[in-house]
Amino acid sequence: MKTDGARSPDAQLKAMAAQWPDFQGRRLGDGTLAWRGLLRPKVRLYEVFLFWKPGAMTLPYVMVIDPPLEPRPGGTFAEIPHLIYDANDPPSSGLCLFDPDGGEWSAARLIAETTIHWIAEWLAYYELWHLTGEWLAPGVGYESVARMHAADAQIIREVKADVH
Amino acid sequence: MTHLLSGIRATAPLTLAGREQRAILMERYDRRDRAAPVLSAPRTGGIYAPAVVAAPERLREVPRHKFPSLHPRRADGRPG
Repeated sequence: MKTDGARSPDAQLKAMAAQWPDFQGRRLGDGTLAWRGLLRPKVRLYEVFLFWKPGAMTLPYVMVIDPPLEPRPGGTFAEIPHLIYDANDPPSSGLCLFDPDGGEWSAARLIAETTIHWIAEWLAYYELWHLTGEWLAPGVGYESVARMHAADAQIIREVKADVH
Repeated sequence: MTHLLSGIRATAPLTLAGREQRAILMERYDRRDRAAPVLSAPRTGGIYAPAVVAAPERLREVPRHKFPSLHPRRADGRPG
């Protein structure tokens, strides 16, 4: 399904090749667009992989390949902020880069001009989170799966206290 | 345990210098309660706070957005 104003797959590939030459892009047989490339937002160099199937996926899915995501020392993956959390394989969790309900991205926008910058910003704030323990960038909703579960548990405790 | 970031041991007691450095980083990059822009560099994706570096033309402002609440993964990649 192509929405009004959607950029064509060719336009997405062309913009990525022009603006991010260290990314290698390709179009798979089913129409999925995929890129693998390098970013150095602050301290470390990261290899990231992103894919998006126009018409089937509402947003690009982004994974950090190398170095793999790590919790803070003594922490858990579920505490890493702003992940599309994959409990079966936490290191392959996706990055939550924008508010899907906030109209911040659509197929009318170029991945090269939005998503890649947001990946770099996410990685920079991930490094700062490792240093400070706080996610210092603007966000909406729960910051992590761990916080969401903690909030759920608190609600359940309060309800249980009421019903007993 | 060696910290993710080279040269820093997160489990070690914070030295005064370490605390000061963290305070400086938080002051520069904490954008939770202010609508400050952040800049990124072409090709590398280097991220800069405008207060830290006078923005040369090659840096561009990262498009405004908010990192969303996270949820378990759905088949279409969208937060569930």
